[in-house]
Amino acid sequence: MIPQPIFAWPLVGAQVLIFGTTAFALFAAPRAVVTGDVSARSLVVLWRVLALIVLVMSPLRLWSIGAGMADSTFREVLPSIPQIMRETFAGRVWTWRLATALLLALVAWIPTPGRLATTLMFVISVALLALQSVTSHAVDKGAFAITIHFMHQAAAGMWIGALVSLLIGATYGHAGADWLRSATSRVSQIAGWSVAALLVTGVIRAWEVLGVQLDLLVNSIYGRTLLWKVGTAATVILIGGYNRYRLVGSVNESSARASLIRNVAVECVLLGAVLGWSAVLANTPPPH
Amino acid sequence: MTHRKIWLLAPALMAIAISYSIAAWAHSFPEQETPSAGQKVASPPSEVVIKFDAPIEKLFAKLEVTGADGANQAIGAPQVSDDGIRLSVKVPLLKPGDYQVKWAVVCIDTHHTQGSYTFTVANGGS
Repeated sequence: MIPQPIFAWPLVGAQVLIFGTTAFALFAAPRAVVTGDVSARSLVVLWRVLALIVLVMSPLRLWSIGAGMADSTFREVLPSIPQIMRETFAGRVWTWRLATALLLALVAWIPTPGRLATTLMFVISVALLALQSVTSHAVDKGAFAITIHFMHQAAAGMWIGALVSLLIGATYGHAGADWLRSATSRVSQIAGWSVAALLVTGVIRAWEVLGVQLDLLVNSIYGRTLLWKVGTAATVILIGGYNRYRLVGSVNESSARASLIRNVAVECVLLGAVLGWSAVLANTPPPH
Repeated sequence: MTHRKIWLLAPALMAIAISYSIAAWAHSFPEQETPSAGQKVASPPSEVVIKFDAPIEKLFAKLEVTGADGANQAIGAPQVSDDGIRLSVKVPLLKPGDYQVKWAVVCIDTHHTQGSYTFTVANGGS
């Protein structure tokens, strides 16, 4: 049996990244990003690749979930997939997810993408995140928990999307110093708000918990995986804090600019790892 | 508090916030069993019922009631209520003795849980 996170990680990562980068392009990026410069074209390439990942990985993820639900092999469960899609809650939601993934790919591969296509991709990615939340652990706890899960994902998406957009603009996009100065300031603000939102949604989730045993953090696989995730995210926050208070102010200097871009690349990689830990957690039974 | 201190404090707060959510979103586990685990009932039950703390999928729900001979006493397939919370199976008039209830379900979040417990039908019950 192939471990479930192998299918979940690229799918969750691609969905979150499309949401975050389209949101950044539409609502936060310096104007040049959405008016057809090199940065915008770089983002379009990224979106097309991510949309393909979502399109390819979605049926594979459904297949792996079906095998997990039926407790059988991929080959054994294949004939039962239509029945699972008809008769289970997750299967019905996944029917919509597959259709949404197809729609995303169609929009992303429009020959002459513009602001409308970017807006459509943003809206579709919101739908994908919502459907993702509906098929998460949160579904056990009702609409409020699903909403909190969605906000948690959205905040993570805004964070990593802003960082990746900045990285692409500064590297592949060959954006100038003015763009970088303006974008860095906005990314820093978005990162701050995103971390705050992640904290708030985490605290709200905490209120839902009764009988929490902190010893489970070290005495269960789930807890230890969670510690790795939190530790990785905390490292990103510390790097972000260093960028904000040490480098952003001197972004006009080429050495500071180079350090900033390098640090942002490291943050992106680490946030990718955080999404990986999330994929593992989503497929690990919490302690009971 | 300065922005810089908030930034430094954020990782610690995040660790606490996420840590507290460790058991927030579990899978389906029994909340109530009838007869309950370890119970000695005077009269044999007509059905065995398990109420779960989160909805389960009917397609993958399993419930067996076995006696000392190891045979499954359940009549027909297990039933799941419309809200997905209640799993039940009819049983014939059970003779006095120990019975093991084995259950295996898939929560609507697609994850498996399973377990077992015993109950006893007292002498003179049937």
